[in-house]
Amino acid sequence: MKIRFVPFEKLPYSDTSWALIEGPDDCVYAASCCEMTAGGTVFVVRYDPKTEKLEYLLDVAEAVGQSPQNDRATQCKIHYSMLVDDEGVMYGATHLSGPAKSQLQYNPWSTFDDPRRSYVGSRMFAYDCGVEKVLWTDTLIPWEGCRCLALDQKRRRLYAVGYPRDHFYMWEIDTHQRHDLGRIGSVNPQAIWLDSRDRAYTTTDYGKILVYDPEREDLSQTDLQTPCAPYQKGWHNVVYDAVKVPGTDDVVGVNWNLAPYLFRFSPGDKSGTGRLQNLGPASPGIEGRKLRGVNTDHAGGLVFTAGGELLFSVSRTRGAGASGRVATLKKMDLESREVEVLGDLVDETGVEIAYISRAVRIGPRDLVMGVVGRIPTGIVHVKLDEELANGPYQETQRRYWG
Amino acid sequence: MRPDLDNRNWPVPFNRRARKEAPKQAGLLHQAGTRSFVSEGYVLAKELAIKGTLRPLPPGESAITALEVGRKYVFGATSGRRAHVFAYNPEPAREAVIPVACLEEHAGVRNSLIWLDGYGLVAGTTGGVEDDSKSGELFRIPVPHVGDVIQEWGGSPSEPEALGVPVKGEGIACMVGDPARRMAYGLTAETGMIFGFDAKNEEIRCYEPVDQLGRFSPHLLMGPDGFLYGCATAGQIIQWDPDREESRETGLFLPSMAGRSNYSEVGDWALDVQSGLIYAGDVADGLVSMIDVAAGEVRVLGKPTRQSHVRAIAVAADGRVYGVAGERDKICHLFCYHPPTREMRDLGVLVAGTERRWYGYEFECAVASADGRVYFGESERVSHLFVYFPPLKPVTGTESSCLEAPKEIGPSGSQL
Repeated sequence: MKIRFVPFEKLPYSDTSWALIEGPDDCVYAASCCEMTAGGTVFVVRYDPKTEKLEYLLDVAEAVGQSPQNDRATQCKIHYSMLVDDEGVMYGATHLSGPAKSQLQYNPWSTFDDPRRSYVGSRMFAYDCGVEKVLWTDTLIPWEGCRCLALDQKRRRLYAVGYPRDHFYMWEIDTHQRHDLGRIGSVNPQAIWLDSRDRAYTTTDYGKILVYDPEREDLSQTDLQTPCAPYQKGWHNVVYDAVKVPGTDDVVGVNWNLAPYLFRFSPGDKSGTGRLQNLGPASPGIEGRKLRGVNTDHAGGLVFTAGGELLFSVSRTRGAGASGRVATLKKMDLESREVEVLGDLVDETGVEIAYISRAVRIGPRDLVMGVVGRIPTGIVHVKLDEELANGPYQETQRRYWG
Repeated sequence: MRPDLDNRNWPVPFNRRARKEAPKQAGLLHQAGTRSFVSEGYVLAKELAIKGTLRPLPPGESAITALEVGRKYVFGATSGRRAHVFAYNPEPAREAVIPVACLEEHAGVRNSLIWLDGYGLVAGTTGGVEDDSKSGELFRIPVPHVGDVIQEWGGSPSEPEALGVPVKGEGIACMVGDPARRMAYGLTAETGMIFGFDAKNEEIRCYEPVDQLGRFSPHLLMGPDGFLYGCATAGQIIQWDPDREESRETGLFLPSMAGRSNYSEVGDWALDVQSGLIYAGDVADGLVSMIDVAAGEVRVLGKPTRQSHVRAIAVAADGRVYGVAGERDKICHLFCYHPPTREMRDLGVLVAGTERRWYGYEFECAVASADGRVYFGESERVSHLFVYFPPLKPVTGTESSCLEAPKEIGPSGSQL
């Protein structure tokens, strides 16, 4: 396995890269966010794993007409809200967290809807990746950020979860109409996924699966609950990442929780039905007796190999402080549930990667992952070994959710 | 067009500079920006069910739009796809929210839940599930006996008993109880018709519209003098005499910002039974005012938050006035007015750590009980009964506004 960290060197204050998605051109599109710097803004970059070329495509704040000079909470981030359709049109929605240029931090609860100070809202943009042109921009959710986005290409519709009010939204691409389907929790799920019938799924604070059925036009809560550690009751079991299992209508997901668990969800014929399979803890052996942060044992970057094996990354602590954390790449056989550690994400020059947000696989061998917590941030390009590149799913598996 | 990053100047950001050059001031800024949630008293968010035993009231049907204090229970009613009635028993061994009844054909109960000692619970509905033909129906709702919810409990859903419709085709905008007369009075939602429900004979009588133009606030209040009070065109306070069954103009008006009384509407109001004063919050401007009907005086007490729309007000047992203000689809704040010091303070966004960890953003109603608690009805797709225990000793503005710079501050940004 050859590991290379690709820093966003031209964006010296960038600190997180959450959104990462493949395009139909087999390039990777990533958001370079700037959350911890007053007045920092988000950029879209493109990485071609074949040529290993990185391009800086778009200053999003400028594109959506929200320069940091306005001294409002900034358009600093795109969370799991950047998708590319089959025509190469990117749909992105911004998120909040970064302070205005004259401030130390931003607190959306204190400043919500302030006409001068507040974050103006999640700004939506459509961008033609081929001709490199912004097609249009609009406001997706006033005053709030967008946590995650999913694209129903057939209906030309986006699904979103807002932050901090935690409402579930539908947005019609052609008419720019927003439908607020109401509040779903307090924690904020980090992903919305779709099945082959274009039903949209996410979770409540307790990991109960929510489903929006476009045929019934109804958002409902199921009794299916994502797994958690035996000493937990499921609170904070919101979905963190979900990836389609190749050749099926299932997804494998992982929770955002202390001691996250992996699960496999198989949708049923009828909305609200289906099957959830517990795939076990991403990092086994956490007893739950000592204080741990919710991100201490973070798991993310779910993607399948050409052979249909699950790859995911978990963070672990090697020493004191943030610098003592490193992410480990693991592989799971879904049938046997056997997990193999492939190695720590330390690149050829010794750069240690602590946190992986999302991952995509381009062709059989090129694994690209989003990095959080380095300044400047960047992406990791992993050249998979030959044995991981064999199998029936050699082509890039497209994902239509963030 | 691609950004020209090669020629871009990247100045040292303010937050990095501030930490280095003036750490104490940076600490103060940090503290100032993080105090957005209610930090005094205690907040409990109750699921609308016996937690862990029953499913909570369904999402989309749980927005609490009416609260009432009974003899043993605090009662609530919801609006949405269907309306539900629940009861909260605060007694420790029985402490739970009990689902009482579902009003299957009705979509709402708004400020229209009345407890009449010796008679029971009365609900007035608005909107229909299939159609509006039954909108406005009044119900008597028997309260099931549940008992100790730790070991053995009983109970079954009650069967609401239909009492009739005051004005056919109109929902009920609000109701208020008159225990002395064993009556409940209300307004209809479209024409503002004043009606009365006589619990002795189970009769409904309609009297007159509260306003000739049909511009009225969906709130009535039983005053300290036994008269009913309503709010009509341009914020005019109307007095209605239940004995003579007629109304009169008081000459008092609900205050508003200059030139905006044409929008005047009561968001909520509450009577302080000790002082006889009415505390009223308005929709248009978010002002809180005091109405002294005995002295014929109105005074603006303040505007507790930056937003308009005072959504709910209750007077706690010790006279402190608590309320929630904030516009729809935004984030409400809890506020407190302390009459002895005449201090109005924004306490921040309601949030609870138990029994559910939950941010409280939108509310529609509030009541206070004799034991000092204040109840707020959350109004979202998924809603909770918020129980607020005010601090035993009133907090002053000096105390609450004091900032202390921390020795160390973490990175800004965070997990947002």
